[in-house]
Amino acid sequence: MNSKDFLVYTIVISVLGLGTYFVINALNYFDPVHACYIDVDRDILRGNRKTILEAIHKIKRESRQDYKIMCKYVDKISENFCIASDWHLDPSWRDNSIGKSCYIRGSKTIYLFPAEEYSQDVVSARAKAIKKYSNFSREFWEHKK
Amino acid sequence: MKTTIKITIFILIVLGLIYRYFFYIDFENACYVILKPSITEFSNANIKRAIKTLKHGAPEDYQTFCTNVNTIDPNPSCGGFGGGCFHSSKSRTKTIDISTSQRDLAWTAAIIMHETCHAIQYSEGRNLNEEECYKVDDKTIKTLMQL
Repeated sequence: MNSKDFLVYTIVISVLGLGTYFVINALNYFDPVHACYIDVDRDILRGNRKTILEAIHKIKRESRQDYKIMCKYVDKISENFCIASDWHLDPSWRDNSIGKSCYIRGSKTIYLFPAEEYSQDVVSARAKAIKKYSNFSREFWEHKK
Repeated sequence: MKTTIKITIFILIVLGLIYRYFFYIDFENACYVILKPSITEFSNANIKRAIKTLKHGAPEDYQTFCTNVNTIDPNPSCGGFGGGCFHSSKSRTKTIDISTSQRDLAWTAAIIMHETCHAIQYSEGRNLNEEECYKVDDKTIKTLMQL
């Protein structure tokens, strides 16, 4: 491979790499420097991916320790209702789950209550919830060892 | 020689993909489950994640599942999209239908345990009682959800 070919090869790889990075980060959260990848799954009708991604950035800015815990113990953040029981037995589950987020034991998945609104209050509330449930996940997996 | 290496690599990749999409195997717990192909479920990833979640988050339920189910059919069935179904006609092979590709992880795990409950009822020669199985999936949900 001559130097010109090598240059073209390097440029193509760099463009592809950057393109992949931006596409992944538009839909999910990817921080290759800290080996952190989190699948962000928004509720199409009632959700907002932007506030989840900003909440993750807020955690990264404010506390390296919380960020490390999140990256290690969370692989998916999903906007979802936390169903507290089977509605055939307890029809009030929807009322009881309003506004609640949760951690799914045995996984590294966090459910965030769907919120369409964009504001700094929502971002802060989501960052707080992500930190809380990241710690639930950490406790689960550390206790399991 | 080069051709042999290429063919070997190709076969290994194909086998890896077949395992990735159509089998759940856990030697440690003697749990072997076939995941049938389905256009709606596509990758079966949601079902595999749910089984693994049961393994770690609800180990008793996981053992019950492994003992009583050996095949999952992800094609839409009597439970519709987002639900599950147990056909007694398929019971000789311990098959349950789980079509939850559009649903979440905890719900999928709960539906798996609901249909496992029906598989147990059938194997014991009992009626397929829904109330009993709602209680089983309710217990799974309560075990997995940490508010």
